[in-house]
Amino acid sequence: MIARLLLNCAVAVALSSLGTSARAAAQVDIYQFPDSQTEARYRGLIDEFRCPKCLNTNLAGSDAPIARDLRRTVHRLVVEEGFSDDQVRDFLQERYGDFVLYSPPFKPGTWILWLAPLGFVVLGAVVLARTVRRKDTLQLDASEQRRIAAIVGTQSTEAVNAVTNVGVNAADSGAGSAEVAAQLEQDR
Amino acid sequence: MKRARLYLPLGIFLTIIAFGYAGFELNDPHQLPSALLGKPFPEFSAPLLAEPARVVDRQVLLGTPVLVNVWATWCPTCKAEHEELMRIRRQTDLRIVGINYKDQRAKALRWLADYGNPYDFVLQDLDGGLGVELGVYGAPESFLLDAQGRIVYKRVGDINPRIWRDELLPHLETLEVGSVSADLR
Repeated sequence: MIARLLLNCAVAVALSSLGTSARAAAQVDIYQFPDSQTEARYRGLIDEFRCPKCLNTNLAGSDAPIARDLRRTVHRLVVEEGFSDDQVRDFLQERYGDFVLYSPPFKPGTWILWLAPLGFVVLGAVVLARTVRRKDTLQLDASEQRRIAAIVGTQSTEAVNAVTNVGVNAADSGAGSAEVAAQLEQDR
Repeated sequence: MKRARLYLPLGIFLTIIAFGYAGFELNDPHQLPSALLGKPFPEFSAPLLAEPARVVDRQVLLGTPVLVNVWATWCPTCKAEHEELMRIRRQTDLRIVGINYKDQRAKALRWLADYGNPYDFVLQDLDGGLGVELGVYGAPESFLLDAQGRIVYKRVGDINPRIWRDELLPHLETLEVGSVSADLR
């Protein structure tokens, strides 16, 4: 009994994998196309639109009656009436609104949708810049400065100044000054 | 300043809550805004349910405000709203036109005979083609048209006493006032 069930499952899986894809198996409409290019356009279009009834399934993947009607409509528009892809988009948008388009148009009602990510990037950059700038710089007294100069091996005050600003410079001026900074911390 | 900053995460949290509330509670994703609102009712030709041999077009909807109600016998909510449609029929002079959507003629006629007929006449939409023209994605749906056939209001779902009082009546009043002032001019 169980063996037969398993066999049936195996046959079903084998049959369904013969189909072009899982989503093609989801619908059972049978349509005629004059050529494979038109069929590809039809498949692309029904993949692109959202079924108005089911919130988050496309026309291709939905079994809702309205999705079937709209697939039939798309087929009619593409095959019989020779609509271009854009004309089909306009046709559906005029009747069902922006909802059927997964990618909403840029207009006053949706600008926040499109611009918010950009806004967050800018906000993040500002916060990052401020955080980095606020990194504490070490305040060294005269004896510490002398010791740094000794470690670095030069009396040049330029070099001293270069490593004094440890907070920022340790990271980007390489391992050398990082070591200096670490040693300084230990010695203090 | 430092102390105020401590409240920042709370503020962000409350903002997210507010957006979530507005997005998920106040806004019913099943109610699509009608793309046809404010636009003329589309051209069509459809047979009458009572006499399928007679095909009518958009002209039959013009002249006075009319409530176009999309219904079917397979739709339970249509049964729920039927009583309210009958009441509107009895108590007002608003014209109601039905679109029998993806239904069987015999069943539809029996429904009207059994429960009463609130419609001036009923259009037949056997394959849902007229429904697609109207952006219908379920039943019941209703459209309120002004005398020029422009869609001034759309309801997805049932017509009930609350919808009549809060939505349809105010729209009808503006329509009536509009036609009166047009007459005065």
